[in-house]
Amino acid sequence: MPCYNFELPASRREFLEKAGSGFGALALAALTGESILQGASTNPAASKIPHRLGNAKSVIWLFMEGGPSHIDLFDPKPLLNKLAGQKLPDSFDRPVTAMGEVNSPLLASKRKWKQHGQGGLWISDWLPNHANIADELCVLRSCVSDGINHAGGVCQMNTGSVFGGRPSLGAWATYGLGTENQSLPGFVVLKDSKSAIVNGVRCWGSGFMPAGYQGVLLEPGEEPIANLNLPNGVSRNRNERKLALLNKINRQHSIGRESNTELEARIRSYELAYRMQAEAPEAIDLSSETKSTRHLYGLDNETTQVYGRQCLMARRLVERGVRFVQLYHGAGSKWDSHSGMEKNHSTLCSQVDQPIVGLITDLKQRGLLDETLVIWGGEFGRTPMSEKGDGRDHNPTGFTMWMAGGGVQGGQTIGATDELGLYATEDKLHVHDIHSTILGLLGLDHTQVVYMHKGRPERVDLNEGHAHPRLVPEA
Amino acid sequence: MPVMASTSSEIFSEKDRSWWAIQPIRDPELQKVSLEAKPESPIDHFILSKIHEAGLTPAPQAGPQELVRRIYLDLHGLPPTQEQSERFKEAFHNDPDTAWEKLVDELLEHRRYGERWASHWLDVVRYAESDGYRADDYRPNVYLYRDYVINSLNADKPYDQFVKEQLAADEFAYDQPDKLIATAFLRHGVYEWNQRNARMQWDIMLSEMTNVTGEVFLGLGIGCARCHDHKFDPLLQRDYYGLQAFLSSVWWPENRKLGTAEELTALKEWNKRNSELQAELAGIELEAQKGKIANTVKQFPDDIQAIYHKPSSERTTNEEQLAQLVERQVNNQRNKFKIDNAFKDKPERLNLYKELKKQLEDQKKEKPNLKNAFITIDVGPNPASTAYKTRSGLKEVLPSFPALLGLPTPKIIPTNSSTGRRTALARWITSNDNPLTPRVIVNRIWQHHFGTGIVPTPNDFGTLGEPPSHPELLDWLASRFIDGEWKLKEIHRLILKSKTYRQTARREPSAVENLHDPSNRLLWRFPPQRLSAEQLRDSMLAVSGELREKNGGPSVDGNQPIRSIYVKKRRNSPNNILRCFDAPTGFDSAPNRPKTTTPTQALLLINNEWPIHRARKVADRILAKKPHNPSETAILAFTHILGRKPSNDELSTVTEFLSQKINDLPVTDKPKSTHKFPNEDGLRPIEQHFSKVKELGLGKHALWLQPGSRFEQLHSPQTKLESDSFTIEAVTILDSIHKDASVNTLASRWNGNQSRSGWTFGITSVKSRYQPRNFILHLIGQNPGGRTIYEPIASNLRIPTGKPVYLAASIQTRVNGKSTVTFHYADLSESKSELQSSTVSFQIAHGLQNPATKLLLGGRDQRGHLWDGQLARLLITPRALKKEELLFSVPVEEPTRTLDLKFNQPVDANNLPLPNTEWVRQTTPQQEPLSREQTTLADLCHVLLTSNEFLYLH
Repeated sequence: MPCYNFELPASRREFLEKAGSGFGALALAALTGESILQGASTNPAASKIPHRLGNAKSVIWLFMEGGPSHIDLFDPKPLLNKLAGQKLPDSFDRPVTAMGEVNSPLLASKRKWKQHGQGGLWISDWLPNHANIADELCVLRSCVSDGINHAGGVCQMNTGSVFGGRPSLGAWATYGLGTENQSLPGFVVLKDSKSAIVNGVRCWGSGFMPAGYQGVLLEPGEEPIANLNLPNGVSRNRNERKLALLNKINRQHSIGRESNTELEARIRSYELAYRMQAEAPEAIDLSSETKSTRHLYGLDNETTQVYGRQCLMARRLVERGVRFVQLYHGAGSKWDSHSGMEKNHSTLCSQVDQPIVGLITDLKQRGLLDETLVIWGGEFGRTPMSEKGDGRDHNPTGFTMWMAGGGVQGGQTIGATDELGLYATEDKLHVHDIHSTILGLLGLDHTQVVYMHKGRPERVDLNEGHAHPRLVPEA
Repeated sequence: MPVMASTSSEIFSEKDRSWWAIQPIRDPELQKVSLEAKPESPIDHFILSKIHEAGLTPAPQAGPQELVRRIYLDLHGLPPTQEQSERFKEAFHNDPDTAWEKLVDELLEHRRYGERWASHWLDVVRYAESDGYRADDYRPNVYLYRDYVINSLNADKPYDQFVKEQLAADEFAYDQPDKLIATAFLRHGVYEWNQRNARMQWDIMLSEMTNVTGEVFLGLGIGCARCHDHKFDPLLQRDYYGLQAFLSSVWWPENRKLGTAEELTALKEWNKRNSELQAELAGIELEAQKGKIANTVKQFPDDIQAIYHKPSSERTTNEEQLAQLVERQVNNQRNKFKIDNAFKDKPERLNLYKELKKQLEDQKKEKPNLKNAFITIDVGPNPASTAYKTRSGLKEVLPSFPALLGLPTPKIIPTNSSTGRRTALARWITSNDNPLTPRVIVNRIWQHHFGTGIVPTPNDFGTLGEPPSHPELLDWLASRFIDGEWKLKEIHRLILKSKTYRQTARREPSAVENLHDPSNRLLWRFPPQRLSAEQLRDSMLAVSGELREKNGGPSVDGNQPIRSIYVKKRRNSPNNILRCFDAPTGFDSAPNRPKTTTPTQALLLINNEWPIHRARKVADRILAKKPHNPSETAILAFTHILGRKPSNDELSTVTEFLSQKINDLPVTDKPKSTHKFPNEDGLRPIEQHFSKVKELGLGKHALWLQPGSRFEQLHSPQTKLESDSFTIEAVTILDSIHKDASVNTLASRWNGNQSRSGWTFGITSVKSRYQPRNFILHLIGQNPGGRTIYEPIASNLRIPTGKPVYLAASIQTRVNGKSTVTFHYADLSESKSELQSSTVSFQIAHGLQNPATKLLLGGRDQRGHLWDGQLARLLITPRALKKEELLFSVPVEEPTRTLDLKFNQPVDANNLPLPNTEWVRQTTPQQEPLSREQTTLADLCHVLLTSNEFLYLH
């Protein structure tokens, strides 16, 4: 594996200062974006200013878990329908596939394709409403990953490695920028059902960074954040009485121990928790949204209301300064269509089509789209080869994602796959490049967002990524 | 800096060669300090000289209260009890030094020392108990490694031996199970059970082992050199693969057992005796599973398939490893395989198979019962080849030590079954001349006593790590370590008996200290520390009086009052309290834990049920001492939780808190908000669902079973059921089924433990392997051979939800050598309903009734598996009824029942639907209503348990 673009630190001290002394203070700052102790020299929150001007302030990542079929959604392949039923031509390298479907006959796409918007983007009839936002989308057709299975694929798409243990992109973004709201977590995850996402909390984990950078799972319902509600039988009054006593005892304990800044940070953490209890439920309460907004997101339609609610919550969260929001659709690999793809994708596409269009439209009309980067994609795409007659296997060697807002020029296509959509051929964007690009759009130089771990300067891209020059021209 | 492409040893510069960590360990002279400073131990000389040099002042010695709490938490991970603390204070008063030395020795000899310090080692070796990928499969036998670490530390096993065993016990102690298990060290990494890219997978697994070996024992962050010569340390890519070559012939076997020589021989003999039988069975299985196996293998790339299809004798070691990766997946499929389905059309094959299986089962009584070995071995005596990519192509390497050290080629002696390479590696790592190993381990010990190592980056002694703050001290300790035959407890003693360790943490920095050493690297005071996740959880259990001792053994759920070292460590679903307070997840070696301070922790401490329950238990303990007034209560609370008496200020604050009259404090009853359905009483009118049901003798009401409410399960404590043959009949309705694989359980007498007798009566859920809505029994009892077995028995009768139904199961054990259950079902929503029946045989012969287990309606005596619906009548008869004797058949003569529940009366004064029953709720444990006194005291205890004084050693 190559390992280029490795910058030597000016000094060891510089590394450490940038990367992580003063863990206690750091973690709290990460969760709240606020410098806890003004002037404390070890607090990196103080230096949390972007490296250059980026448009995007926050990210909404629409994660289609299981792997949507790029060649049936955004990347039409006329040759595929011509060769349908035949084997992959000998001129193609044989990829390693998850279910070993290398030699199965090619499967035609049944989609009707049209070009949309001024940019003439190709979008299939599975996403009819997307025509309305075609000029906002920048379609990346040449994405590449190393994970041939869901576990590795989802892990890499989130953390850069097919192997567990590294921080997720949301953790890197919050580490690099902090958050703007003191009473909400900086990194929030929502999912569309109770099904577990592949690898569980690890997808939004903080890896080797302190646990405070971990994403917080917001669950609609009575208790959106774990332990947010008062325990059974404890009134607000009684809770405040306890907190007041705790504060008094802790203040007394601090006397003569002022040099231990962790004690003060701990006292503050109770105050922040208290504020979070008040603000988090409000942030995801949709009752104040107008009828027309609800309609826009498809909340009045049974098919679209689940993802519509998530999309609408995401807008409310970024409005309140949450840095990174991830919205899983199809939690538990529902997009995985090894067989019966027609039914699978028809159903899933109809669930997300209007909500996604609603989100982009709403962000735009509120003037938020410029500062919100919206990303769409799964952990990989699907093969042109068939599986079980009417499905497709995993394809990490060439697949589509798209970006909108956050300063990205819409209505364009970047990169290309071969004539069957199996391999990325032009402008390859490995997951590392995608992550680097996203940090770039947030105004961060991904080579400078460094975290020292076990003596090694760790980066989001494992030292291998490049921000795409067309998307991040200054890079 | 080394130049990239070159690998000649001439590339090392003078600077490379002077890297501090590879210099021989010297035994330095003690540095002179003025006698005024009263150094106690040589350690104090090294520390004090630097403090003086910097113009700083050391902190005074800590008092007994501070010391006793510090040392107990440090060595045992638990605060001292009041008695322990008093005893020490008294002895300290008489003779501080003797009292201290005695306490240190006493604590080091206690089992709890190993339980506490094992967690430091487990962090470093990335110990966890699950695979860590999507499936996150549990590793049921890995706990033996955890026990190995605890026992080794407690026995003060010399560290060189400890290292050798972990790297290579299979090569020299194969028949010593308590050593062999140490090789799990190489196997703790994550594993992806369904990866088809076998080459990449093996590459990842090997690299993981190489990296962790370099980090744990040598303090070398060698991972960088996997892809290129290390950019900052004088380590070459060749060095990386030279190290890997020691390890690259390994395999993780799945079929080995842990046993002594005798036991292993006995097992071998048993296998030999039964080899024909086993071969025949294997042949039949293979015949049935051929298609499935072929399908699994086909999913791998062509070259891997070719390797797999070669005879084992023709495979190279590298090929064998790849083939074994395929084999693991094949075995996985075979384990899931159901032979009944495969032989549906060949009943004679199936019968033969079952007959043979039974014969083997009978033989198993004689089989030595050995545990599966979670160990590492070599594929065989032939080493795998190790090669890496260079610009001029693949380059083969043999085992070698880092070139910079200029050591001779290692001497390797293969054994009959192993390459001997890992023994050679272990020998070098543990040789007295190795400059790294002793420094690395004494540094780790120092680190855990003071919070920071002399080298603050314990896994990286290279340029990217930090240099030692006290290099001479590090070498002095390493020298004592080598002199003392690599024993750890002696190093603990040296450190703990120093004045440096006994300094107080209660001294604020002066202006000089703030300027020159604000981070206290020179140790001008004892560093304040936050309790670790385990210390925190265990301390709460200790002061609440709930902590139960556990002497090793399988791990437990975090809800049990058992030390955290024994709590299950699943990588993808860690215990929430431990994870929240920074316990590592086990994905890679964790030499330092971050100590975070987050609002999420605050929410957990304040709102989570777990700390609140601990607080209530402390309150109960205090009230048991019958304090006379709030002031006595307050003193007891402080001494119990913080180990000291409150100051006058604190006393007045707290007595005021205890005496305050607050209107909304609950006084006697549970507050309303705990009632999910405040206007319900657990009974519904019978007409709601059962109006059409005639002749089944229903009452005026039906029992309303609602998961998540206080109407979850009804317990019938006085039911005496002893017969193994019995019949359960029910008139019921199921409103919904679970979305997972739980069983909707209507009646049961079982606690979910598959080795304890019991039975359950229910219907399967969405993800059941028996398909959803299948009427099913689970029976746990003894087979004819006397072994306890667990048998799910599906009727294949599909029960609709939302309709009133009649269900019956007539269980007949062992008549003419046969056990059977006959299921009956009728849909009662139709006026003319017919009975559908099915009979299934099973193996259990007896022992279904366990008097120690509760008879429950609506669920089981374990979490989940609740029934959502209504129950109109339930009958249990202590024998297997014939069809014409069933309630549904309206028998002429009513059989004698053990239990007959119907609901004619409204709920009684205790809100119970029937006398002699009680509601049981599993989602939140039943709570006694609290008095005002208990409530305020529990609140005070909760506050003290979450206070900074409790959470920090300062």
